[in-house]
Amino acid sequence: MEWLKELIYQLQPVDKNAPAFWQRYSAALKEQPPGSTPLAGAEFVVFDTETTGLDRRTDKVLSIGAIKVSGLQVLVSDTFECLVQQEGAPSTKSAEVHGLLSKELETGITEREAVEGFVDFIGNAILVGQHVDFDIAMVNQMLKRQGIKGKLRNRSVDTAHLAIRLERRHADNHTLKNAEYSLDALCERYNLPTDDRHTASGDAFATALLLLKLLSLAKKRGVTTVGELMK
Amino acid sequence: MKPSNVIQERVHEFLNAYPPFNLIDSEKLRDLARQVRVLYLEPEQVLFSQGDTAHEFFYVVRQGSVRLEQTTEGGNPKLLDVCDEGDVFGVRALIAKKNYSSTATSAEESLVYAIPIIAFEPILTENPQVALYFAAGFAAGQPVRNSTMRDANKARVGLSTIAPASIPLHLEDTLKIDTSKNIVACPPDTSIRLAAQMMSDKDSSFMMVVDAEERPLGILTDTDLRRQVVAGHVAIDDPVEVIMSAPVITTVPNPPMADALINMIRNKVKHLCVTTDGTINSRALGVLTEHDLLLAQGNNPAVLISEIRQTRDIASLPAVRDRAEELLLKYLEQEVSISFIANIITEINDAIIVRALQHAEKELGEPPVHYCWLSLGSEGREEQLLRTDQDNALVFEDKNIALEKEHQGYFLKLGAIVRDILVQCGFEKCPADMMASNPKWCQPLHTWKQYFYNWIHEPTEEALMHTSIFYDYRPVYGDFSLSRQLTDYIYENIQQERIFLPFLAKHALQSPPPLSFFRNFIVERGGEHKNEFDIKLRAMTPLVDAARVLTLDNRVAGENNTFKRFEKLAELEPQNAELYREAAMAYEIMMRFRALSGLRNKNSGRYLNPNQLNKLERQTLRSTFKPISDIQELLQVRFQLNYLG
Repeated sequence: MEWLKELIYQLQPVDKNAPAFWQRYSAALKEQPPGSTPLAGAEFVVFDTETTGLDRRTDKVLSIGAIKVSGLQVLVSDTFECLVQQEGAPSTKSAEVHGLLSKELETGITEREAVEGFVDFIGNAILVGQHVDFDIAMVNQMLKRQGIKGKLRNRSVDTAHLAIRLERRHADNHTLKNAEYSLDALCERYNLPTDDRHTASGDAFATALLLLKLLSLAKKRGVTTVGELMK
Repeated sequence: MKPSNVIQERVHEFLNAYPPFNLIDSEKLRDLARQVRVLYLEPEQVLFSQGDTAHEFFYVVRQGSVRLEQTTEGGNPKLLDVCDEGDVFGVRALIAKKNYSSTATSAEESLVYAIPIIAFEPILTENPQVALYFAAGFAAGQPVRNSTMRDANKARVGLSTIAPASIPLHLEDTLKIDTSKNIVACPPDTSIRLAAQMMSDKDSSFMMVVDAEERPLGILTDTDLRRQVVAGHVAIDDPVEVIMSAPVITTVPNPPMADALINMIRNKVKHLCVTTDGTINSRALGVLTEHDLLLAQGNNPAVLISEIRQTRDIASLPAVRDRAEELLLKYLEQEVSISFIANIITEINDAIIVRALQHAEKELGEPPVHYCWLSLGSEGREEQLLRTDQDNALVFEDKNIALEKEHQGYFLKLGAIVRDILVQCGFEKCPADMMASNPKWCQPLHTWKQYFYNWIHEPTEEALMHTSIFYDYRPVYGDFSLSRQLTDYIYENIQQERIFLPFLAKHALQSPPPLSFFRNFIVERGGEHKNEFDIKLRAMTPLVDAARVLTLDNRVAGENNTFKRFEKLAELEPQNAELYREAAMAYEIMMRFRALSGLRNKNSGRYLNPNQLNKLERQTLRSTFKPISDIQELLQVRFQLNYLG
């Protein structure tokens, strides 16, 4: 039914009262490349957020790291990275994992600046992340808090799902071990460098390398276009 | 300029670990890192093909490995190189602006950094060290034609962190050390604590203890502090006079180096106090340390040699030879020229052999006839830096055929005594028993002539092997005219036997030159030394063999040393001079690597472990292989070996 949702969206007029960044974004999304675009011609933004916790409604984004993949190359020049100032201290547990101390977060930018910068950065690229739905939901929550009527509507690829799809074509679902599809496990399995993990940018970089690997595997499985990748 | 983020920092850190990027200043490198692209290559994926228009990037392997192969007209692809982590390749676009001269294929899953040429070019023009890196042909698959061993060696020395060598002085030179600056002194009642503090502040290894007239009473060294204080023998607030060494060994200002050395050795001290009149009864001016001597002179081979010559006790030889090894390490670290080092070590080894022979003669009584002791192999070529196994032989006079057996009996005993002394000194027995203690290699002159006659006129595989070992003999002790007669005889026969040299040349081509490395290194496939590199067999022997046959071809007699042979060849064949000089320098570099490897691992150094070499060392070593294949090509053509079957 995605085509239908897409159609309805296309027909909606751009909200003239929306802030400029959101108008730019909406305009960009109207020109999504067709599903027949070869993977080598697709533009991806691989990203990761660090948050105060795992609740999509109450927890908050502390940092975002994102990097572009285009022409099957990771573009180190095209990166987005920010720390976000949030009301209230981050929960201790999260601070331990991410090493983000409240002091550091004070040096960050406002949520408004963060979400604007991020949305401008992604444009109509395909969003990629490890469990990307969560990160997209977190960005949407930021948008909502900033009074934006609307959500991110980019195509998206979850690297964990893609890995499962490519690796386990014939396997039963109940034999699936989720732990084998964590970013750490995948990087280890695919022999990818994993320094600087657990910062948003570090994870985004690792995930971008993982994406290159998975796209190459996808090609061997006959997946050559954006449309086939989204299936 | 935008500050770098985590990802860019990570790329920067990686690049910064490898040449030539580590030669670029941090801000510029950071700027470069920002413009990198990362590529994933699946196994056997082709990144660029020979003849392709050069990309706008050159590449660095981040992970995995990439093969560079070149196809010559009508030929099969030839492996040029295998690049692994940190290797730079595809630089043709950067340097020559021409189409790719080879094909790059990933040998396994790989991540590759693509570096935009437009961003790198300014660095290349501004930074001479980076330019030197490329000029030396250190990037993988780079055409080596336009680089020389001189560049490689210059780059090796210039890019390494070791300080350049000071040129060794002669022993008779006087030591002019400015002692005025280095006097660190205190009165005898100073506390050890304060003295230690002063030494540490002045970064001094000693403290002079002086009386009110500044006459030396004693000396406190960091060794004393370690032994006495740290071990808890004295309290830190005791006065220094409790632990100082006294009396002090003194010297006059600017003493001859040899005097200073002998003074230190005789008194077993590392510091000499320089006083106005050279006695403890005058004012202390400064301190001369062993370190000063080392800096000025690089240790003291002459002293070692005279100790060997003069010692009455043969059992003291091993200790002297051990010290020679320390000397070797210091020389290598100071980048002293290999020919100088080889000379010194040969002198020392020869002195030990001579001393051992004198000792044996004393034990056995006068030799019945004249004889000559011959060193063979690397010792014969004056190239033995490390104590590898013994190779020697003995020739004695043709005097009375009837008494030959008896004479041989004497010389065998002589050989056995020398062999055992050499074993004591750390030279292992020759596993193939090529020693003067073996009856086969302890023979009168006419038998030796017969041996060589057979080897030359019937060049079987075994004969050629014997020739390569025995031909490089060098007389060390005894009647050198015996060795000269043998040499003359050999030359006469070689000139008569036209087939011999081509066969010897063919023999020289037997061990193929290494073309490339596994992960940047050729390693042995199996056996005891799996994953190590046999530098002797694969790199050094081909050059030794080539130098030998080419000097024979030029009728040069009496030059055994491989790099001197190449120098001589360069004089005789100006058209090939460049190649010969390259080969000589390659050989010197190999000797250096082997010696360092041997010292590091306390073995023969023959098998190099790639993991113990840094990137720069691996690249230097790799650049030495080009002259090997060039020389071998020359042999092929000169001796028309293609027709030899």
